[in-house]
Amino acid sequence: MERRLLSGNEALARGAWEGGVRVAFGYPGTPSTEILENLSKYGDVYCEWSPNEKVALEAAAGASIGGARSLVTMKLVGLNVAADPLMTLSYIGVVGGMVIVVADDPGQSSSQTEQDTRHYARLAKVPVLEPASAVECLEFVKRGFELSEEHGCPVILRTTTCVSHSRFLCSLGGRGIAKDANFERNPTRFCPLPIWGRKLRRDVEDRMVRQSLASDTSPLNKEYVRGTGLGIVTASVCGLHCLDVFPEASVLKLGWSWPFPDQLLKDFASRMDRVVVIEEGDPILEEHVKSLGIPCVGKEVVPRCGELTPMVLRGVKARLEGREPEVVAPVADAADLPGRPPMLCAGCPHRGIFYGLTKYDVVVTGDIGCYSLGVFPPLSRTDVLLCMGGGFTLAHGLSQAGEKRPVVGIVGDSTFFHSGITGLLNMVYNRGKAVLIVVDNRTTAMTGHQEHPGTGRTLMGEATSEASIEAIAAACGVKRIKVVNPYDLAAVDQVLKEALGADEMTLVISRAPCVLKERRLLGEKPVVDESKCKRCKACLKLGCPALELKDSAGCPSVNPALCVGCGMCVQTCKFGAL
Amino acid sequence: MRKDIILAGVGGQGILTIATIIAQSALKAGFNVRQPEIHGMSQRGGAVEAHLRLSSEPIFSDLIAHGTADLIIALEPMEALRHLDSLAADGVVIANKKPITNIADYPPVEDIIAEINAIPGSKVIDADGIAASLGNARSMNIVLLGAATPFLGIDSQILKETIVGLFQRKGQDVVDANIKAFEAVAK
Repeated sequence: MERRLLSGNEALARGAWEGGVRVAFGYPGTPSTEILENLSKYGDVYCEWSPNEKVALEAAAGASIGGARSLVTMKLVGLNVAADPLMTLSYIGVVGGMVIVVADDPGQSSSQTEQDTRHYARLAKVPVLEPASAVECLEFVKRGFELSEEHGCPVILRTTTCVSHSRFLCSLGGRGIAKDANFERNPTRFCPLPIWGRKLRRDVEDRMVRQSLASDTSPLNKEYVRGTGLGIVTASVCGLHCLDVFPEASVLKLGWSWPFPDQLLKDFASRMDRVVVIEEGDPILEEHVKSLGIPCVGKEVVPRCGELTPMVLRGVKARLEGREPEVVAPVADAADLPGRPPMLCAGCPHRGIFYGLTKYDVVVTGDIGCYSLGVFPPLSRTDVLLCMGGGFTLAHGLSQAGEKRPVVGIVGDSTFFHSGITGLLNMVYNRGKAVLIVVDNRTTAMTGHQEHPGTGRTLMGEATSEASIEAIAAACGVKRIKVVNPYDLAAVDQVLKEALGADEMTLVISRAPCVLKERRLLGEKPVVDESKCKRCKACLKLGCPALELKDSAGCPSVNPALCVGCGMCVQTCKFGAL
Repeated sequence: MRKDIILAGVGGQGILTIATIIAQSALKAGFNVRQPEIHGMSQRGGAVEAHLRLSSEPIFSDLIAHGTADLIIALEPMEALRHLDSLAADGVVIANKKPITNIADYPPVEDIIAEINAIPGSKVIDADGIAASLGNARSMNIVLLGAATPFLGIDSQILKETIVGLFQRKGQDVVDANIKAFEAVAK
């Protein structure tokens, strides 16, 4: 049997392929993105980037209602967008297996929240599987399709950043049979009008009872018996860390963690002198264990926030043993080292817009993408970030509420297609006056250059029609649409000046491709002429990482290894020193 | 044998490439391997770290606890310091000499280098300079991998085979350049 070192995301793709997935849908989002990127490479699974997670989940639901196995992938906050169809899909259920992979991000390595997807599983009343490693990712996604079909409902497979990105040695199997859809009419099941919906509602409760019983004996839940003193009830990757950090403890690691396996939990607890529940995120499992009348320790010793790393678990162990957690002596001044916050790349086209905005006293509502980095100095031209599409809608609400300064709302191109269009439409319809900007770099850049409806290419690499932002805006009724090259700072300033002075809304489209995607020089790399440089540091206001200032009294210099010759700094120099 | 290794550097330096080479080589050598990675926001100019756990015995967790790492391979000197509290008492640091100073308040690089050199067995290597002198500046990461090889517990021949396999599709020139880089410090 072939074995390969796979990341959790690669293993999920492999498992779906081996599990006979027919179609897969998703929207990019760290840490989930690589699942579909990998699955699309197999060539015999239809894969697509949908414009957002709600569309993806609905499309997959269509496939699975028709009897085909489907996969949906998203990051944690994507499920907020897809929550609406999920709730009803739980009632009407599926015929072909449907696995919804949601990648949580304990520790918030690249997410705005640390929400716990298990809450959604309970709210929607659908099972949640929690693989702890790539090996389990491969196994669980296959089992997820089967469970989904056995119980006639979608299954959530929850990974975390650690699970999605860690590489484990996996054993590989062959391609599973992928059935085409063959829809069978059954309106009493598929149309949850109240007359039928009330019955479906009761069926869901019965289904959960069956699932709890099935979970009791499921091989997805694993017991590591190593003693009867301390018993740890846990799930996901922190279960693996527990096995290392608590070598004497027995560990019940739930893989099918909801509906709870009540009997299994009771049996395990009855054999232990003391039970502790160690789970990342909220005390969902712990509260349930307590509700079963099992005395246990939990969040009083286990942190609610952040990742439960082995180091954190050592602290948990100390607290359990009544010791103070050991303080690792800070070596040297490691704690005081300057950080390396992510910044807009050298030559990033977004810089032109943010730099242009520094000239005006405006409030800027931004959005989720590379351009979130416009918040950092010296640009400091993002004041609020909320959610996908929020850049437009926040701007509208703030300006309608009488904000005295002009309000500028920014979204990226992929975000525009994801959920910017409704906000734009709303603003036109309700006569809003904010300035809206699409920073269009022709790709979904932050997650690593995925295609979207505006790029003219699908995930499977096919050429397709290229949605036009300006045509959509015009169709919504926007009268003032200005397209600008963000590298031309004078043109950017002119467009912003006009837009901010106009008495109706303007949509500015700042258009230039992502330099990391293009990977070519945009122009000649400038060199600082020290005889002409007046040390005014005007160029440094761009915040370009290729411009370095070795000592504060000296001349800035251009780092040729980073510079791509975008020429913006040349335009900021009044003395011709660049 | 068990080696807990931390790889540290700045996005774009080729850290994931050497992590992959070590991981694949360890598998060929018959070890259990756990390889978590940091992705996402840290990719562009940010601090990047990758952990690697190699073991001849079964291991569960993929993360390295503080104070237990056997080896830190740092492609950038300050990034080595950032992970010193993960290092075991007898752990070793192999660091590149050239700082990436595109941030405010970069500490004096001589102090950083002195601090690394004070750790018994540790080495600071001018991997950029060596790579450049070999005519392939981009192979800095492989130079450093070569320097770290005596501490990996993996036969250097296996590492070389992995390098050949990894760069093969880029042509023989690239393979040769990387093997030269690997051998520059490795003995």
